[in-house]
Amino acid sequence: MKKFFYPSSVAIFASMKKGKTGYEIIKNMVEGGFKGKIYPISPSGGGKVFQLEVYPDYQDLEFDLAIIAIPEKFIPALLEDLGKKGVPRIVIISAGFSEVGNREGEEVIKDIARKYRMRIIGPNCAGIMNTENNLFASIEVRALPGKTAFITQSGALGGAVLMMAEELNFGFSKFVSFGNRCDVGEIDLIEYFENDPQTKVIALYIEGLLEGREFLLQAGKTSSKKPIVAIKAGKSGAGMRATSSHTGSLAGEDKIYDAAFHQAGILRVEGVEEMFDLCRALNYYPKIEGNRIAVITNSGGPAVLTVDKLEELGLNVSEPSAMLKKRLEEMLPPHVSLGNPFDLLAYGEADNFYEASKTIAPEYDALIAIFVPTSFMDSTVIASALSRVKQEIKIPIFANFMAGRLVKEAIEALESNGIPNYNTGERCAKVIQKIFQHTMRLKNK
Amino acid sequence: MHRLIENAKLEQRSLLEPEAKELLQEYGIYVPAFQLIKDEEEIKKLTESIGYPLVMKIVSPDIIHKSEAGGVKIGIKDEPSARNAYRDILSNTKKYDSKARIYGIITYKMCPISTELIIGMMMDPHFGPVVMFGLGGIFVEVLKDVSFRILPITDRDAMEMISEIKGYPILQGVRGENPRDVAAIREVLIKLSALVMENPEIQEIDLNPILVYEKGIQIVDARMIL
Repeated sequence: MKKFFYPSSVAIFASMKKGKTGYEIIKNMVEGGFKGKIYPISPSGGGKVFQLEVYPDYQDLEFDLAIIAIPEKFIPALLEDLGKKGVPRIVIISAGFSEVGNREGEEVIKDIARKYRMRIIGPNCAGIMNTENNLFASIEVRALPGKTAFITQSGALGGAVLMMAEELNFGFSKFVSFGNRCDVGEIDLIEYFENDPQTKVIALYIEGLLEGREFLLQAGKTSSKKPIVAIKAGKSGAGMRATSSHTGSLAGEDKIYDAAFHQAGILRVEGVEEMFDLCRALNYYPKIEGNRIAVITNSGGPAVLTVDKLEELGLNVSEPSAMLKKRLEEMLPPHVSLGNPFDLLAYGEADNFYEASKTIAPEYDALIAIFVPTSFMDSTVIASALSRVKQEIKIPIFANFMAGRLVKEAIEALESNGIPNYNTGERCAKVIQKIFQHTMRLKNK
Repeated sequence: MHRLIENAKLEQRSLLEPEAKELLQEYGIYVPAFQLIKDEEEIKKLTESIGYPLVMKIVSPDIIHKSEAGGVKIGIKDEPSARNAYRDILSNTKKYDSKARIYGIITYKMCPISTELIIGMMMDPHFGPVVMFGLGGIFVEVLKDVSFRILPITDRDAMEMISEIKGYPILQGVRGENPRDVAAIREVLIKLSALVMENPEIQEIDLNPILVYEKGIQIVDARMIL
């Protein structure tokens, strides 16, 4: 797999006309700053694209990754040639294979790949990216650098995720859209990312698995080293077949996937938003060792909503010990709530947030800090106070700064200091519960 | 291949109830003592071998809905009623389906009423054998309150799938009732896992109903489809 992501030079077989796939890929590769050689190849040849010469022929060129986006009917002949030339890795972006019923066409390319021991990603995919060496062999928005590897079956969803990620300032280590999975599939990729030093979290979008049991085996092994977050699309009952037993009639596809993912230690999420929520947190906090959660706030309403959600999810919004209460009483202004949630009221300024958070941390396993500024307050000072706390305590801190432009700068400061912020405390709660359960599962394995 | 399965395959049918129960017993899963009778005169021995009150049920691979076919009699108190039941069942099922292959009548002792469970197995096209657990009756029929795991399962998987159903508090004892034998349920799940992994010819299993007591568990009915 590594050869796909760290080629020394890449050939792109596609139309290089402005607005066409090849043009867009070259643009991404050049503007993204790929560190190796880039060879645009188009039978018409001639001219330049992004200052690069377009080659009509490739026999004299040396490259170890080929990106193919030419019409389906020309692909087998090209693959034969590339096979003879000894090109080891191929990404086929072109569509027109099994997804439109052309199974024979896909078998043909599979056979050629086997014959020459080439590995293929695709066809019908959105390409691959590696933010470490700026390989953006894709027409999609270039991923920002980060620690999450994203594997997607759907190219279009992959593109949408990249755009949403850009907006959230969320980065990726690698991106792969595997499309029809004629060769490389989710099992190979998970195995590779397990040992990829750039990747801390593996995110997966799948519509269906081909080799369920092998997948579970691999995922079970990988998830004990790196968290895997997965979206499984297609929650309807489609795919059910006739059964004569009671059990068969009750076994919906979705329930089976739930069970399977759980057994393999995969964190299942409902959609893209929850996937981001969880991946962002896992980047900073792969583990939460217990279920005692403290909520510290300067505002009652959001804290109540957060506590309700925490309790609904089975987490423990435990009261502080008498000793801790006494220490807080000595430290904080009168009237503030010395119970959990710790409501600092209007005294919720940087010093109090800092002192109180630091003091309560030893009795808890995670901390949610909620801050709602009045229009004249500077929320960045609270953000830096929390960033200081983070350095000094052992438990994860999550933030819920509300809301909008009032806290925009503060949120950026939080994120750059490794404190994930969420628009609501309920979202913090959901993320905490998932990481806590995962930690427990790993512990008892 | 297990001899019972081999034999059933030769006859192009699924396992019969007594065969399914025999297989369960081989894997250490407890079923109430049963006897397959093929002749009315065998009823004489039932007082000693099984004891009354009895359940009598037709054994035929061709009759799936046994009650509907008049093939089930329960609460049989003594030998004369057992003889009547035997004849009734045979004539009812003959009327219901004259071509049905009849292997005899299975008899076993009535189990005291208790909390009902269902445990099953089915083959998933992606993941292979999957086990299901739930409380019986309306819990499974209406609320579909069941849990699943891919086989084989560990002890912990078994415990998790028991405790994750919504009706779990019922097993822990509600409204003054004592807790049910959760350890026995777990044991059935683990043993069934072994049975399924070692007999891949079995496509589906329904153990339904199962009765679980404060101490012990009884698999009342068992179906295994090849």
